[in-house]
Amino acid sequence: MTDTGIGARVVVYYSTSTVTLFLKPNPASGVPIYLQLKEQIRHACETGALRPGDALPGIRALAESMVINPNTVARVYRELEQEGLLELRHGVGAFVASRGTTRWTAAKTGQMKAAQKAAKSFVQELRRRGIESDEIRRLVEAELASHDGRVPLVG
Amino acid sequence: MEISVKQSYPIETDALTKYYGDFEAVRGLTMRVPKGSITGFLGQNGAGKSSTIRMLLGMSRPTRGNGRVLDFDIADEKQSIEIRKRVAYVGEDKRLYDYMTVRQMIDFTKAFYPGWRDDVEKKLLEEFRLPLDRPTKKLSKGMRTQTALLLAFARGAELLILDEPTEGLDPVMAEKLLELVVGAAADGATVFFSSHQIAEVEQIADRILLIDRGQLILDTTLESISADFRRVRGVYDVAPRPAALAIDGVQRVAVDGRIVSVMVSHNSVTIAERMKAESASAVEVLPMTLKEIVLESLKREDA
Amino acid sequence: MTRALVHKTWLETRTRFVVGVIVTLAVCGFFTLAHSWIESNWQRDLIEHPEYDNPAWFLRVMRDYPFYLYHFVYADFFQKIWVFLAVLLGIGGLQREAAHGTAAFTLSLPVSRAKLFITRALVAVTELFALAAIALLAIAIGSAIMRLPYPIDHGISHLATLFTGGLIFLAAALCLGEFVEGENTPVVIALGAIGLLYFVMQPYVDGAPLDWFAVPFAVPKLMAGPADITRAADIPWLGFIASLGAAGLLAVLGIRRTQRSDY
Repeated sequence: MTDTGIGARVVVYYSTSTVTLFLKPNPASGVPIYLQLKEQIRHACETGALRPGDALPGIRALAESMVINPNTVARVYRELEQEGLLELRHGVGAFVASRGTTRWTAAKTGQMKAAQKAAKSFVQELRRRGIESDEIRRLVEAELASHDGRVPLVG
Repeated sequence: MEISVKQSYPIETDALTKYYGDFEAVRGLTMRVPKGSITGFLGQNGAGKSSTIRMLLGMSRPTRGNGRVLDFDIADEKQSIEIRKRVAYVGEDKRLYDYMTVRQMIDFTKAFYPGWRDDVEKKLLEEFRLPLDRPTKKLSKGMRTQTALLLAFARGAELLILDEPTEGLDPVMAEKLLELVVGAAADGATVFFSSHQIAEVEQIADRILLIDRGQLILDTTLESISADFRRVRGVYDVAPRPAALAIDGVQRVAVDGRIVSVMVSHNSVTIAERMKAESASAVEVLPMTLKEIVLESLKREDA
Repeated sequence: MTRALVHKTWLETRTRFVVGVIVTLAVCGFFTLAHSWIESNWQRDLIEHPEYDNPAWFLRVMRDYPFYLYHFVYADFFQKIWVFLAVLLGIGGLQREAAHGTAAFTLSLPVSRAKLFITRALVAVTELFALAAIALLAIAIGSAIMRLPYPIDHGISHLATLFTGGLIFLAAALCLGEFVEGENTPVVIALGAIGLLYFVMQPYVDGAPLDWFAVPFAVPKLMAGPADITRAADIPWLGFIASLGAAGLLAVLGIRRTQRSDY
């Protein structure tokens, strides 16, 4: 325990296992669990919590600690390998890809920053037109759900 | 080839039916549980989940129909014993023999399973810190549950059949149980578990079987739910012809005044386009959660 | 696996068995050790109350020690306790486990229901046999302490008929446990049946000839055996076989029932 000096005492857990890096998924959020896990791994790479060459937890260990289906973990690892973020070494485990990643991360970080800006102005624009937050959320979700907008929302 | 096909479904039922007197608990249930999956068996209380599971384990006899577990006939007493050698069962009721101590309970159960996992026993004993020499009737409810879990998960079973396993457990214990399930699945076991807690099914399952009034009404994967299941909603000036909505993928249609809401299991793009072509003035495609799909599927026409 | 099942049944029934041992020792011990006290009381009664209309067996009980034991232990008082003990040892089974909430656990084990039933039956039979041996020992030792000459053959013969007759009640209890739901209902039914049986049979305890309606209830007679058997040749073999047959039949009925029940 650490005394923060303002009367509150904070419990600090130390762990060397990367398992603790990931938060348990929230099944009630409506976002599929495999997407939640994928996002968490991407995020960990973007923030530098995971760096090139770092080992990811084993499928079993991660599945047990997050209490999710091991097949889900395997699927996420496979997909992230295809995206070039991870490297799967047979019989050894999953690692953050050594070269591809740094570039991927840098490029992705730039992209995300730009996207965030775009999203901000998009939301501001809709608000200006008097659209409520809930309505905006629904519009975006519907748009995403309709296969990248191939089906027009309003015909 | 034939063998490999069969082995890929540790649980298979064909028109399985169970009467209790005049009450038809299971009505011609045909389903398959694929090997290596964690299959959630959903349904309301009284839908026939427990009756099905009891038949799978030989606790009760099917009135009609067939069932095979690990390629053994569930209705044959000798083969049923072969099934139970390879299956671990956890029920909602986790009471133990109150004339035994924890140690006696473990030794007793161990005697039936040559593949008993001493490592799992040791790990769980350390984790739970169970008082080995205490009679089980003097255990707290939590410790009794922990003992029951140890007795099930140390069997080294290739198939786990769990009947409402988290019912009545506190959140920490329920999560521990799910963690053990996930661990067993990682070891290669197939898991079939009944539940009416949609959230926990969504958390660990990769397959869903939903039954209502003794019949299978939904058989899908969680992957397909996020990728393919959609609600397609259209606003019509004139109500559409029912035939216009008879499209592959349409599961349920609800008409509420001018709004027609369709639950689709796949093919949402085509369906939305067809609805537009059928004079819908506005069509939107929305994602669906497992909960919405289950609730929608359980809606009765007479309701 | 068989060992584990036997051990389970033993743990399940050991309290009842210990109660059986205590009751057997107490009753058999009492009738041997208290013989002279009972006898002297009766002698006094005989002198002080010549007006009493004493039953026919009364004088023989005072003269004849084996007959005294026959009367109190094998034919009447201890026999009723014996029947109760046999039922006590036979209580259990899947219906009772269902009432306790452990039936599903037991049924999930890779073992047949017939085996579960037979294991329980064999353990209970062994326990009942042990009680018979303890009764014999208590009577032999008690008689020796009181310096009452007692031909051990007499005890062996009567305890043998008591044991085989007891098997019927044991099997009936095992069987009831498969037919009747609930924890205590089978016990209540068994006790009721025993009560009725002895109510019908009480007038014939001392050797009065059976009325026609009492014949089907003659199990207590069978269990007592003829008063004068001392040699193996006197053992009522027909009754013996009938008892074993009836017990076997009840056991088969119980097994078939347990195999067909839904849980």
